[in-house]
Amino acid sequence: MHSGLVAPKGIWWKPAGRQEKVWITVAFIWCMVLFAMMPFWHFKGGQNPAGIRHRVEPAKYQERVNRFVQEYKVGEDTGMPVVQAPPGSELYLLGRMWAWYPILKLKEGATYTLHLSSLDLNHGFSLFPVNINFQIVPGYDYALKITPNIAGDFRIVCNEFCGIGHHLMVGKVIVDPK
Amino acid sequence: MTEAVLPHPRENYGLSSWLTTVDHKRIGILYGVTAVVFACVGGIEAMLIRTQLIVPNNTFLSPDLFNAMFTMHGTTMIFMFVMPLNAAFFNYIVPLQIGARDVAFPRLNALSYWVFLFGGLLFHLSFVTGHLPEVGWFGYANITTKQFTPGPEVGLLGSVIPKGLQYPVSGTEFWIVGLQLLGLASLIASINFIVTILNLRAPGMTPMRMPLFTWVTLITNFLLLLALPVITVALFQILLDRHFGTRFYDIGAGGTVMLWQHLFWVFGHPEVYILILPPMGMVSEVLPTFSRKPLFGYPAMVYASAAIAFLGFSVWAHHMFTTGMGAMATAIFSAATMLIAIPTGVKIFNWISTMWGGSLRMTTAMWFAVGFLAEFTIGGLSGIMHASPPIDGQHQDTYFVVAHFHYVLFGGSVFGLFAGLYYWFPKFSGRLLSEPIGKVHFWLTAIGFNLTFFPMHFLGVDGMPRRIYTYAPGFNLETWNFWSSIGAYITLLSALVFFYNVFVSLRGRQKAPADPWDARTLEWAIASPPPAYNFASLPDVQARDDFWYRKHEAKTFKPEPEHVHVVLPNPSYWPLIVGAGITLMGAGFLFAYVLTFIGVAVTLVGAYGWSFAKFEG
Repeated sequence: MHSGLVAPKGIWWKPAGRQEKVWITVAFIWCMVLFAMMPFWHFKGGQNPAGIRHRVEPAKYQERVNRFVQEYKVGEDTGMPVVQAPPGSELYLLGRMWAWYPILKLKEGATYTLHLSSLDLNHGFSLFPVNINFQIVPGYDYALKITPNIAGDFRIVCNEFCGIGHHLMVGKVIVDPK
Repeated sequence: MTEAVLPHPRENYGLSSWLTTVDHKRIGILYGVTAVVFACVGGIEAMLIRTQLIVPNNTFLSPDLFNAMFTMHGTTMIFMFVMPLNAAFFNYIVPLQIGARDVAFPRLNALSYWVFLFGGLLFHLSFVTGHLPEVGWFGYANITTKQFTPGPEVGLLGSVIPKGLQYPVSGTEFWIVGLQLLGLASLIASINFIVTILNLRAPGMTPMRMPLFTWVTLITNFLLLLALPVITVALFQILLDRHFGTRFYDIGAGGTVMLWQHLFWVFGHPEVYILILPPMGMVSEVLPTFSRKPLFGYPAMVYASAAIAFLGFSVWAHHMFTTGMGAMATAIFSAATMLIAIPTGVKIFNWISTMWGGSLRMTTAMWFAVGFLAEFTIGGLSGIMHASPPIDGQHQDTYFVVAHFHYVLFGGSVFGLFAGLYYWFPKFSGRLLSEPIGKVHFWLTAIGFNLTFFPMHFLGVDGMPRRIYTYAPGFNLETWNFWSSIGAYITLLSALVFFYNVFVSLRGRQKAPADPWDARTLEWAIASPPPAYNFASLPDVQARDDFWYRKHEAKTFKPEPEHVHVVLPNPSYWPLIVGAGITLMGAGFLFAYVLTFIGVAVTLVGAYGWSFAKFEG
């Protein structure tokens, strides 16, 4: 360890040296590569969530969900209707304090359009135990194209804080095997 | 009246000297001590949260109390701990670093402290009333509307709890008004520091000779100045909704809750840089000093800091990838977010290059700076991960995000702040913190912090959602939650070691020299702690790292003149009175509207007295 009283050696008092300039150039190029990756991957990979949001009045959406439930209801599970719509159809799910309505029954490998909206507050749609998260915003209908590729029972957990009963807000999705 | 010329002013002691002080150093100490007290409150809240989560299906906290705790913890740590602790360093260090005798508006500086203190106290008054805010730190509309979190009905002379409520009474008003006051305090301070740094630099202190900490202070305060008005407007919207029947966030009446998310994050993302940039500046002072090398790539560091701040305003919607903005908006915000990794990467590599080939002295401050580098890098990398929307769709609102921002705000900001504290403590107090205890403190903090937050990455990927008061057994969540809570207790222990260190050092007899670290910047050229007037004669700056240059290159010291007349601002009660008036205005919305009118009167009287106060020689 040198004494601090000895003057440091090197080029410290001069403008940027060669190493600094080389580093800045390399870093800049690397940055441009990283920056280009995202738009490139957006078009090439097609992985960004491509859901589309529309304005909708909560009461109208609730009516639509009720019609959907009437049309395709196949049973009941502890008072909550279980709904099975044919593959390719539009599904309507309503988040409200503090439940997910109704229970959806899907077929593995089939493609659906899932509509999500809320009656009252901001809720969060989180599929458990697989990790998929979407915000359920009142006044907006969020339409997602989904293709379930694993069969089983899944829980919908609310992950956007929605008041005193937030932790009780658990829904259910059943995916039947092919 | 001609401007009086004073001899060297004497130090004053006693309570009234603190209440009336306009000295930037004393205000800095007030800021620091207050922030640490609030940090203890926020820390206790964190301990309660972790204790609740230590085993599945725990009943230590009720769901209601848990909701209040995470709201209070987040709001306290961000607005009442890290922001004011940064402000403490701005106050104490920046005028010294630029060779000034005080900030540009000393009384305004005092006002910003008092508004901060009263705002924080008002927020914490919710503990006394028993109605705690339960909205989360970002208070997403429309849970903040009266319909879902009803508060007391406020009348002109008092408030009553309305009968037959659908939901329990909440303290949402405390959150709104408290945040509004804290924002106001930062807004006042930001104008002050921008003017100070632009106008009060010593002769020869050109912008590119300013120490990096001063640079990031300037940039941070521009961020505050531009970002805070947005949250101010948004908070006024909910306040108007709750008290005067407006419908900004009433869905039934055509309001839209997305407005809040946009406004909040237009403020909220720059806020993240407001929290992290000053600790970055502290680390940029500590690393060169203890590596005995100048900061590597100083101009690149300045430009990178400015670039981070500038880009920080163009990425807010990456907090909203899962709200269905459409693929194009998502892609653009995602690319902009990745762009921020560039200047941040430039900084990380420059810090490493600063240490490279240096003659390192591993003091506690240096350990914390190195810890900052490692942990902030981890936090930054997980940030890049959820800059990608498909990955964000998996991470959103899980513990992975909790891990990410604690790595940035604790591993980053708090470690940087500790580096700054150990580095500048001799300047603040005239006493050196104990190095052996400091090292115990560092290692306990590092182990405790990593044990707490690293497992949260796994918990998040395993699907554990945020803000739920408990979890069921059998989902592979038990082990890591247990260890995470143990880590939290170790972090608590490390805080106790730190307080012990401060206590022992302040009681110790050994005084710190003016320049204990062989440091580089002007604050070390004067005594520890500095006299009230800072510099007897203003320094004539000849180089970047001027003090180091004078010690080791120029080899000449300008002898200080024996007696110089210094003009210092008078102490004043008016900032305290105006601060109290402004706080009363806010308190009216919590208790009785009449307080608001009294507050307006007090503020007007205070402003009158302030404006016409005589300069007493």
